[in-house]
Amino acid sequence: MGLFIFFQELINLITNGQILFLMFISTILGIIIGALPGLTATMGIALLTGITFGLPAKLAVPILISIYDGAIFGGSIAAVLINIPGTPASAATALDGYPLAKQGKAKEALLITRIASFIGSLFGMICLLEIAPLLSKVALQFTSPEFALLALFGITICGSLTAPDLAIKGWIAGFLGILVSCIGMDGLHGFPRFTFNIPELLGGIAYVPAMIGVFGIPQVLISLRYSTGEMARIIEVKTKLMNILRIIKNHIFCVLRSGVIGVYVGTIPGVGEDVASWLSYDTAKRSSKNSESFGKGAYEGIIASETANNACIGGAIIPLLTLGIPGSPPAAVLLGALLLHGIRPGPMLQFEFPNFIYEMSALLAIASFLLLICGTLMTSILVPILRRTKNEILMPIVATLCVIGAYAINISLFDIKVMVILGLLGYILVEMGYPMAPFVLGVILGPMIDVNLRRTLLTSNGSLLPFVTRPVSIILLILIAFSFISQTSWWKNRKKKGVKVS
Amino acid sequence: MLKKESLRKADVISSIILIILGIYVIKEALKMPATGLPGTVEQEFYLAPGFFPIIVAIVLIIMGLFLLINGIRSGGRISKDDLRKFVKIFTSKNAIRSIVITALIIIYTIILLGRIPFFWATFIFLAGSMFFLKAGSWWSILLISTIGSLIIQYCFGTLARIPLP
Repeated sequence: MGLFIFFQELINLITNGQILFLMFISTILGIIIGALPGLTATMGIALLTGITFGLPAKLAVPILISIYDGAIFGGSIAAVLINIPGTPASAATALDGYPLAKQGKAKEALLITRIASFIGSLFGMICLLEIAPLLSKVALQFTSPEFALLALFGITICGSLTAPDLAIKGWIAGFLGILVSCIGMDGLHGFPRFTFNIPELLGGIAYVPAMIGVFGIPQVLISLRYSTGEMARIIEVKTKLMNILRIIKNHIFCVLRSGVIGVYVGTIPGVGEDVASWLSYDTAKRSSKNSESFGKGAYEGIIASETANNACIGGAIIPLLTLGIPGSPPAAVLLGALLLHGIRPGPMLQFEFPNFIYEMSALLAIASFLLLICGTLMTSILVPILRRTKNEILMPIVATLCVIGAYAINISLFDIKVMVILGLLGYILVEMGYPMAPFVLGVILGPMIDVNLRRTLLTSNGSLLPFVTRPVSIILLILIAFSFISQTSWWKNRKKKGVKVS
Repeated sequence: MLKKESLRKADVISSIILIILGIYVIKEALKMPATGLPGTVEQEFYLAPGFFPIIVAIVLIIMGLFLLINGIRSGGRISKDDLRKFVKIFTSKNAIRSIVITALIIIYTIILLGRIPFFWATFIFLAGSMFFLKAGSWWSILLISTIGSLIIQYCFGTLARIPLP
């Protein structure tokens, strides 16, 4: 039945010229965003969320999915051609992609990354189609205590895994986000909290200006701190499609394994495509017979990295749609975008929008095919652009787009100020080693914790027992406790000792 | 991101700010009335609008204390010499680029937008930033800024029908 609905949605989308055209343009835009160093998939989705706000959801969602898929692939173009990963997700691709380009195999490497990304996206889509409906059924058993704990778990695990310095900084960033979400009228009483008599704050801090601010402004400032250096020369050599397909066929096990790693990493809240690609690259290197060729232009390296990062997209959308917890930073922004368009991901999604999971799967399938077509088109166009565009020209334009993205949601100059203030705060926090993904998750999921926590206490007359007597709550509590304990020096020392003994 | 040694010093500063923020949030949240839901007479503390911010603030204070202790233990004590280094960080060439761009973003968003037409505000910001960053010759900067502002105005103002400020 599910498969039938999926094909029905697929046919509906394919026969809709307007959606197909918008997805085509968005995939191209996504590839450009991904290919330009400094612009990430997260930032691209955040920008486009603001800009597409005025469009109906049936047009805005396909645009954002295409941007997401295109940007994750686009990063590999810059990684292969100029050894600068366009997005963090393609950093592992640069390790072998650039040496291949220097050997005169730039086109070959790009064709491989394109096919690997296509297979990865498709693999992620199949997993989304198969796993998401099953997980939705489990999620139906969730009530207030589970929702509060689930949101808290998403923020803490994201904090643990995305912190570049200390895990505690990831948690602090998450709780700062929750604190920001407390601004405005509270969900139960409508009492104004921390509004400082500013009427614009009564409605709270809007997601999109906050997201654009903390992801966009730090990126602009960090990219502009150093002047653009010399870029490497690109070698162009002709290649045959049959040879590439043979290479992919010879590494089919690596492709499948990377797909599984990508989807698995994607389902973990807040952990994104970059982790998937590194983990897959590392696994490929460890299990390869030619591990010494890694870093010198191994096809396996770019296949592993690119398959995993695109498979991660489907994986990240699974918890997003079924539990309302995004699997990666771009998915966190996507969650904000869906909420903005009146689509509330989570267990109730299958009742409010029964076919949405299948529609998303169909969109991802189309985006995968468009990626293959647009990737071919854009590779030749982006080569000269990548060689000539300076950060000093690009970043001021990006800053202007951030301003429009923040403004367009509510047509409010106040939102621009919010974006700038949070952006500067984000810049300082990023410099001090605080990750921004848990902050954004905190802003989005904060109200969910607040309302569900107090609702649980209301129904239990102030007792905390529902949190420790319900099976799912207990599991979530254990997971939250583990996400904290696993980061302590005691646990890490214990693990090290265990490894030494074995 | 800062270097590891500087990070520990920054941790000490940020943890103190966090603790102060946490105390401020608790102080403000305690002022919020502990009334029940609208239409009810319940007056339970856990239903008060300030209940959740207090919990978040307590967690932030505890984490701030952990960060402070870890920072001090890992050599993050702040000396007079560090203050001199701190001033130096803000006067280095790279930092000046960030500071000036930040200032330009603030001028663009808070002073120019809404006071002068969007096209001119954007043109001034783009041209000013590119001149400061030495993005190219003066005529190429003027050309890129003009075309850039026009394209942005046309795409968002005309095509996307966003009433630009």
